[in-house]
Amino acid sequence: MTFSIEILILGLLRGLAYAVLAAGLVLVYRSTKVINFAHGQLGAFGAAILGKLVVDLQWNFFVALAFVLVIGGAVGAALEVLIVRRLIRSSQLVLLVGTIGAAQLLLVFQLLIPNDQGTGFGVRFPSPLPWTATVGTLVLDSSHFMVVFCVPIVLLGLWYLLTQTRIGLLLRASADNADAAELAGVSTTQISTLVWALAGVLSTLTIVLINPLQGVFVGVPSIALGPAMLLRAVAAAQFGRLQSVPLTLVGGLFVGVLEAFTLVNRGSGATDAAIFVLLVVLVLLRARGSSTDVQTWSLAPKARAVPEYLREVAWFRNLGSIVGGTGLVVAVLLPIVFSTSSQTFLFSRVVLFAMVGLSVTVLTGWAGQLSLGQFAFVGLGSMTTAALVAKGVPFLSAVGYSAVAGAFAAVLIGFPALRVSGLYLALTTLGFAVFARGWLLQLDVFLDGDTVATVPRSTVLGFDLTSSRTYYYFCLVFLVAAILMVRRLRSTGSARSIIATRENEQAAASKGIVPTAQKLQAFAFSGALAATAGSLFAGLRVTFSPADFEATASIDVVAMTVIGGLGTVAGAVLGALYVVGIPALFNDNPEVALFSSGVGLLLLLLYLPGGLMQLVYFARDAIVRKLDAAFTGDRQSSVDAAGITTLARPELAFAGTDDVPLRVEKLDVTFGGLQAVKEMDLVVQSGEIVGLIGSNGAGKSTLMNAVSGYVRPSGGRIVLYGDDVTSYPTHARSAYGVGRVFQDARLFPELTVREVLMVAMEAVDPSHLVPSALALPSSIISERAKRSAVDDHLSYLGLGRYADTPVSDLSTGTRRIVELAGLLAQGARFLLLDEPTAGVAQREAEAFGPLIKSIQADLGATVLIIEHDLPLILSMSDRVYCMSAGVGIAAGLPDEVRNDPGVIAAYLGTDERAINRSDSGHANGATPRRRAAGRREPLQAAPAGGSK
Amino acid sequence: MSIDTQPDAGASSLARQVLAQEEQAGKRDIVDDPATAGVPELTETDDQMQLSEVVRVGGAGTLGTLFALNLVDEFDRAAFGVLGPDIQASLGLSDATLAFTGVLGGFVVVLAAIPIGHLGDRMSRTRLIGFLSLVWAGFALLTGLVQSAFQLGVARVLTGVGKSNEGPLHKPVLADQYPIAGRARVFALHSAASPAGNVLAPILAGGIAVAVGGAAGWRWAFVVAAVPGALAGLVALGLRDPARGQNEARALDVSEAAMGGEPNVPLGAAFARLKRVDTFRYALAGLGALGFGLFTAPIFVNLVLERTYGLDAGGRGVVGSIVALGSLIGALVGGRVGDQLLQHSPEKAMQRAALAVGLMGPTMALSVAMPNATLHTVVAFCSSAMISAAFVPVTAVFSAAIPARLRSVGFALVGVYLSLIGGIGGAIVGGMLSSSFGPRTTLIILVPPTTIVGGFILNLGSKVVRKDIALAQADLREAQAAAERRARGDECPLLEVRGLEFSYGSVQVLFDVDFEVRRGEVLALLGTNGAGKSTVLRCVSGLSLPDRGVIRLNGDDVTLAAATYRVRRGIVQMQGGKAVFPGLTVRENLEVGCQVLDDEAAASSAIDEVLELFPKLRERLDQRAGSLSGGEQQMVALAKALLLDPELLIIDELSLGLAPVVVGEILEVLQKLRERGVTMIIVEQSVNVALAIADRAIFMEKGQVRFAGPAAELRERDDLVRAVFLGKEGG
Repeated sequence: MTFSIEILILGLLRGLAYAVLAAGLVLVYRSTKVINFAHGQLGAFGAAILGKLVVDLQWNFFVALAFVLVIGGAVGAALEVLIVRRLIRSSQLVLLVGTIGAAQLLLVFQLLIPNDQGTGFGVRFPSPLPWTATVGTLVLDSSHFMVVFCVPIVLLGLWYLLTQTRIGLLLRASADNADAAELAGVSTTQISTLVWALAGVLSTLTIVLINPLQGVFVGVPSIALGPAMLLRAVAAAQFGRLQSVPLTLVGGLFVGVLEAFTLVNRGSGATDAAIFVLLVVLVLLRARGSSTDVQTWSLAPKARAVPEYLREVAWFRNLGSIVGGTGLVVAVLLPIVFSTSSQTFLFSRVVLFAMVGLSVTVLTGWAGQLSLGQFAFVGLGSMTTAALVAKGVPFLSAVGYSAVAGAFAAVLIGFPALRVSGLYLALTTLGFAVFARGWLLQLDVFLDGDTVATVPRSTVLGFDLTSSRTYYYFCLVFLVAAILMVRRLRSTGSARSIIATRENEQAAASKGIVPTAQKLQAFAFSGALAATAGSLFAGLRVTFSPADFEATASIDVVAMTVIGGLGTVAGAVLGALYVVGIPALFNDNPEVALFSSGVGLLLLLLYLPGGLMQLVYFARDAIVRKLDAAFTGDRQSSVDAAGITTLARPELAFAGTDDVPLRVEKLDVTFGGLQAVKEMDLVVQSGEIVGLIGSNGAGKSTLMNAVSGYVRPSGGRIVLYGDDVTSYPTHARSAYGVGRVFQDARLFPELTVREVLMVAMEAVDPSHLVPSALALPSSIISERAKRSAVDDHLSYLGLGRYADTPVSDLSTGTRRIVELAGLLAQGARFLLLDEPTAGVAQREAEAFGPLIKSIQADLGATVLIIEHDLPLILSMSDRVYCMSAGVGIAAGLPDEVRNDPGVIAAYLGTDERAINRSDSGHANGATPRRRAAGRREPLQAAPAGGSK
Repeated sequence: MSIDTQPDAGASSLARQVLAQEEQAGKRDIVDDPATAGVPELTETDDQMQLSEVVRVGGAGTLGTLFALNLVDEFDRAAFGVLGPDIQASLGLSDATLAFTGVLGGFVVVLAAIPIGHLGDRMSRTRLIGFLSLVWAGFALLTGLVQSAFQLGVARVLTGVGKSNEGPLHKPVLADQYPIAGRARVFALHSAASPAGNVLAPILAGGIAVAVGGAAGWRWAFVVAAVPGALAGLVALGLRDPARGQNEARALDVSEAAMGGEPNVPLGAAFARLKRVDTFRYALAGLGALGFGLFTAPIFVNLVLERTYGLDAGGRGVVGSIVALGSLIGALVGGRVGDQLLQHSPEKAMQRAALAVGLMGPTMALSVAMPNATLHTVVAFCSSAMISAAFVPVTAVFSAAIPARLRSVGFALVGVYLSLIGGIGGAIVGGMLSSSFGPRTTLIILVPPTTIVGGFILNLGSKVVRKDIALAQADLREAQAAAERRARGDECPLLEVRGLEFSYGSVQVLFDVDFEVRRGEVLALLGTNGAGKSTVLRCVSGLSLPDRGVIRLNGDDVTLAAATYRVRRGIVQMQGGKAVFPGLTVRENLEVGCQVLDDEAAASSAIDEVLELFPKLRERLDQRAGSLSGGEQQMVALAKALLLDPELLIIDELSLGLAPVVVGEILEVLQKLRERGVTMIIVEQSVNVALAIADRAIFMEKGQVRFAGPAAELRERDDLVRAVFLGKEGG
C-alpha cells in the first residue's frame, strides 16, 4: 500500500472533475427528479464543436468556449422542450429511460458534425493555458489548471443560484409540487427549460474540462460519459444526497482520491470494485427512509379487458396461441431458408437476447425493480460456463450450474434492493454492471490467468451442437421453455404476489405476502434466466472475453425491453427482434443500431409508451370492438349469473391463544424526535366495533399501523388474540386473521378484480415459485381452488362484470367494495379499517356503514375503525376511543365520547356544520339500542334539515 | 328498501346496491353528436364563384405577393443545389460540409416554422411575412459574400429562418383573404410557384453564374436573387392582414366582435387543442406516412435516371421540368375539382385526394420500372400530377377543420411531420434499403406502401371532416351567442364555462359541462368521486386543457391561456391536501405564493396581512411545511391563496381528511372572505359541509352537470345527495 503526494494531487484533480459532473446531475435531479443519463452527451456535442473551432478554424479558445456554451444551453433547452417536458408527467423511471434514449440521439447528432479530416484529425483536445508545473513525478499542465480554476467557481455559482436566489427558490418549489407552483403563477415549464439549459451549459463546460484530461482526440466522436464515469459522478452526488452542492464537492474529491489510491495499489479493476462498494454503502446509508415514495411503472402496455362472453369465440380465445404458434413455425423455418452460418448466428443472438429480455420482464415489468446491470448476469453465466467446461463439466450441466450461480448472485445483489427502490436500485445495479466488467469477470476463477475464455461446442444428448443451425435450435428450445415458464408463472399466485408487492407493498403484506421474499424470488428467477442466456451465449460465441459484457449492454437491454413492451412475454421477443434483429438485417451498421435503439426508444416513449406491444394491443382492441359490436348473445357475466347469495365459509385455523382480538398496552411510537403515540392503551373485545377518532396527526393511523406491523413501536406491547406480536412483521400477523383496509383504497392498480381477490387468498393458501413455474400438480390444484372460491365471492357481491377489469379503472366506490371483498376472501376475523369511506361521496358513504356491519356479521368479525365521518362512526360503533396528540383522551360509549368536553375542545369543535359531514345517523337510523336508552341523537345541523 | 325494515340485509345485497348506484351514475345521457347537426354551411352565400371573382374580392395583391415570395424561396433552394459544386470549390469545402450545410438549412426551415407559426397566431401575419422575407433577402445577399464554411453555415441558418415564413403563414393568410368558395383554387395557384420555381430556378441560377463567370459567379446568383425577394418582402409589409377566420364568420353571420382574439395561448396549449381535432390528427399521420416515401424519392429518382436510363445532368433537367409541369397542372386541376367538391361534400374531396395519394405510389413505382426514359417521363408526369392534385384539396379541408386562430401553428406542424418525421425517417430507411438493393428497387418497395398507407389514413380522416367543420362552426356560433348576451346588456358572469369536454387519453371524463359563477357568490361544486369536479377546476385554473369548450373570465376567453396568466388575472386555486410545498419552509411557501406580485414591498405586506388571519402560522414560519399537521398545511395553503387577493377563489377538497375542529376554523375564514365579497367555488365530498356556506350549488355525476341552482333546492334533491336505496327516512 503506497500513498504519496502525487496520488493525492492526482486524486483531487480527478475528484474536481467528478464533482463538476456530479453537480450537473444534482442540478437536473433537483428540478426533474431524474438521474440524467444524457448529461455527458449533452455537453459532448458542444465540446466537439469547440475542438473543431479551435483546431480547424483557429478560433481563440475562450471565444469558442463562449460560443459553444451557448450551443450547449440551446441543446439542453431543446432536450427539455422536445423530450423531458413530454415525459415528465410519466414516472421517474420512464424519464430515466428517456434520458438514455436522448443520450444515444445526441451521439447521432455528434456523428453528424462534418469531419474534414483536416488539421484537427488526431490532434489532442485543446486546453488554453500555457503553463506547466511539476510535483514530484507528476507533470501538471493546462488541463489541470483549468480544472483547479474553473470547478470551484462553477460549484460556488451553482450553490449560490440554488440556495440564495429567487430562481433557486422557484426551482425548489416547482420540483416540490409542480401543480401548486403553477397555481402560484410560477411557470414550471419555463423553470424546467431554464434548468436544462443551465445543465447544457454546465455539461459543455464539464466535457471541455474533462476531454483533455481523458486524452480525447478532436474529431473522434466518443461516448462522453460511459457507465464507469457516470458511476463515479453518481457516487459523488450521493454524498450530497443528490441535493447539496458542497457535499457533492466533498464526495467528488473523496471518490477521486479513492480511485487514485486503489488504481496505484491494486489496478483498474479494483477501482471499479471500490467505487461499487462505496456506492452501495452510500445508497444504503442515504436511501434509508426514502423508499416509501410510491413508484408505479406506467410503461406497461394496456389492453382493453375482454368481456367474458367474447371468450366463447373459440378462434379469438386461442388468438395468442395461434400467433405464438405461427411465430414458432417461422422461427423453426428461418435457418432452413437463410442458411449461412453468419445468419444462423444472428438468429441465435436474437433468441438469446429475447431470453435476457424475459429476465427484465420479470424483474422490471413485474417486480418493478429497474436493473441496469442485467448483462452482468449474462456475463457471469458465460464465464461460469467457461470455467466449468474447462474443468470437464459437461456443457448441459454447466448451463444448469450457471443458472444457479446467476440466481445466487442476483439474490446477493437483490439484498440491497430490500432496502431501496426505484432510482437507487437502478444505480446500484449499474454499479454492479461496471464492477462485474471491471473486476468480477476478470477473476482468475473464470479466466485462469488467460484473457479470453473458450467454450467448445460438443454433443449434447446425442445432438451435435457444432453445427450452428443445431445450436440455434438448441437455443430456441431454451427460449420456448423460458416463455412457457414465464407465461405459466404469470397465471399463478407467485407472479400475482410479485406484482402485488410492487404495486402496494403494505397491502400485499397485509395479505400474508412476504415482500422481501417476493422481491428476492423475482431477482433470483431473473438472474437465473439471464445467466442461462449467458451460458448459451458462451456456446454460441465459443471464444469471448469480459469485454463482451460491457455495462452499456445492460442499458441497451433495458431499452430493448421497453421498446418491445415491458411486462409482457411477447414484448421481450418483439424488442429483441427489433433491436437485435433489424440491425442484423442491415449488416450491423452502427448507425442503424443507434436508430433502432436510441431514436426508436425515444419515439416509442413519446408516441407509444407501451412499446411495440401497444401496437399489437391496438389491433387486438380493434378486434374486440368489432366482435363486441357483432355479438348478439347474452352479455351477462356467468359469474354474476351464478347468483350466489351465501358463501361457504371454510373453517380457518388462526393462530392465537385467547379470544381477545387486540390489547394495546402502553404503546409508544416515535418518528425521529417526534412522539406520534404516547402510552396508549386500547382493548377490542371479540365481536365489537370499536371506533377511533381524533384530529389529523393525533396518531390514529400510526396506532393502526403499529397494530398492522408497518411501524415498529418504541415501547409497549401489542397483543393479538393473546400472543405478544409486538416484534412480528406484518405478514406474520395475517396468520391471526387480521384484515386491513387502507385510507387510499389503492389496492393493486394493475391487477384485475379477480386477481386482487386471489391475492387476498394468499393469506390462507400461499403460492410457491418453483411448483408454480414448473406447473406441478400442487400448484394447479391450488390455483383451481382459489379461482373457484374467488368466483363465488365475485358472484356474492355482484362484482362479476368487473372480474377482468383492472382495479385502476374502477371508481373509488367500487374499489372500496373490492377491498371489502378481499377481507371476505381472506376470511379475516379482525378488521382494521382506516377511513373506509375516504374519497367516497356522501351518498355512497352513507351506504358503507350498513355494508361494513353486514360484512362484519358475515365474517363474525371484530372491527377497529378510523373515520372522520362522525355520524357514520358514532352510529355504527359499540365503543369509541378519541386520541389527541398521540394520547388517548377519552374512551367509552359513542355518545359519552361525543359529549366529552375534552373531545369537543381537541377534536370536534363546536361547528355543527363541520361535524355532521354525512347524514348517516339519520338515513340509516340510529341503532335501536341507543334510542331505547333514550340517549341524545347525534346533533343535527340546522342546514342539513333531516326531518324527524 | 330500507335498513330499518330489513335489518339483516346481507353484505351481498348491500354491495350490489352500492355497485348498482355506481353503475347507474356511470350511464350518461347521450348528447347529440354535433356531427349530425347538419351540412356545413360554409359556402351558402358564395355558390359557384368564378376564380376571377374570387381574386377580385380578395384583391390580386396578396396572392401575387405571396406567389412571388414562394417562387423566390424555391429559387434559393434550387440555387444552392445547382451552385453547390461552385460554392464547394470556391470555399474549399468537403462534400460532407456542403451536404451538412444544405441539410442544416433545410432543418432550420422546418424547425423555425413552429415558433413562427406561434407568432403568426398572435401578431400581424403580413408584417411577419414581410419582415422574414427581408431577413431572407439580407442573408441571401450575405450568402453571396461569405468567405468561410462557418459564415456559410450561419448565412444558411438565417436564410432558413427567413424562408420558413411560407409554411405556417402563407396559406392561413390566403384562407382569410379570399372567399371560401375559391380556397382550393387560390391554394393551387399559390402552390404552383413550387413547380414553376423548380423549372426556372436552375436555369436562372446557373445562367447568372455562367453570365458573370469565374469563381465568384455563383455569388452573383444569390446577390441578384436577394433583390426581388426584398422587393416582395417590402410589398408584403404593406399588405393588410385579414382578420382570422373572417370568411367562416361571415358565412355564419358571426360578428367580428364575437370572434375576439384570445390572449396568451402558449404553444403547448395550441398543440394540445389541435391534437383534439380529429381531421388534424389524421392529416398529420397521413402526411407523415406519405413523407416517408415521398420526401427522399427525388434523390433516388435522379439516381435511377442516371444509372438506369443513362441520362446526364441536362437530360435529367429536362425530365425534371416535364415532371414539374405535371405537378403544376395537377395543382390547378386539384384546385378546380376541390372547390367544386368542397362546397357540398368535403368528405368526398378528401376521399378523392386519398385515392389519388394511394394510387400515386404504385404509379411512381411503375414509372421507374419503365424500360426507357420516355415512358418513365410519361408515367412520372402522371404521378406528380396526382400528388399535387391531392395536396391542394387536403390543404383546403385542413384549413376549414382547424380553428382559424390556430391555423399558423397547425400548418407549421404539418410541415414538421411531412419533412421531419416522414423525411428523416424515409431518408434513413431509404438510405439503408438503397445501399442494400439499389435506388430502383428501393423506390419500388418503399414508395407504394407509404402512399397506400398515407392514402388509407387520409381516407379514414374523410369520415371526421364534416364533424370537425361542424364543431368549428359550433364554436363560432357559441361565441356569437355570448357576444349577443353581452350586447343585450346581460350581467357578465365572473366565470363562464360552456360546453367543456375533457378526456384522459381515450377516456372522456367531462361531457358538455356548462355553468357560470356570478360575481360575489359562493358556488358549491358537488358530486360523487370521479364525477369530474377536480377536472373542471383544473380546466378553469389552467392546469389542464379541455378538448372542447370555452372558459371566459369577465367575458374574455381564457380557455387556452397559461395557468400563470390566469393567476395574474385573479383566478386562484387551492388544491386541498396537496397545495403546499412540503420541502419548503412556511415562509418560503408564502414567498413563492406571492411571487407574481412584482413589488417586494407589496409582497411582504401581503404576507403580513394573511398572517393576521392565521396567527398560528407566525410561530411556524421557519418550519418545513411538510412537517406540519394536515390542518396547519391547509391553513398555509389558504394563506398562500389569499396572498394573491383572488377575484375568484377555487378550493378543491376543502375538508378532505381534516378533523371537524379544523374544518370549522376554515369555514370561519371562508365566511369572512365571503363577507368581503370574494367569489368562490368550493368542491366538497360532503354535501352538508358545502351547503353550509354556498349560495348556489352544482351537482355533477360522471362528467355531467345534473343539477344547478340555489343551494337550498339541492338539499331537497334526495335522489342526488342521499343514499336513497337505503331508505331515506330512518328515524
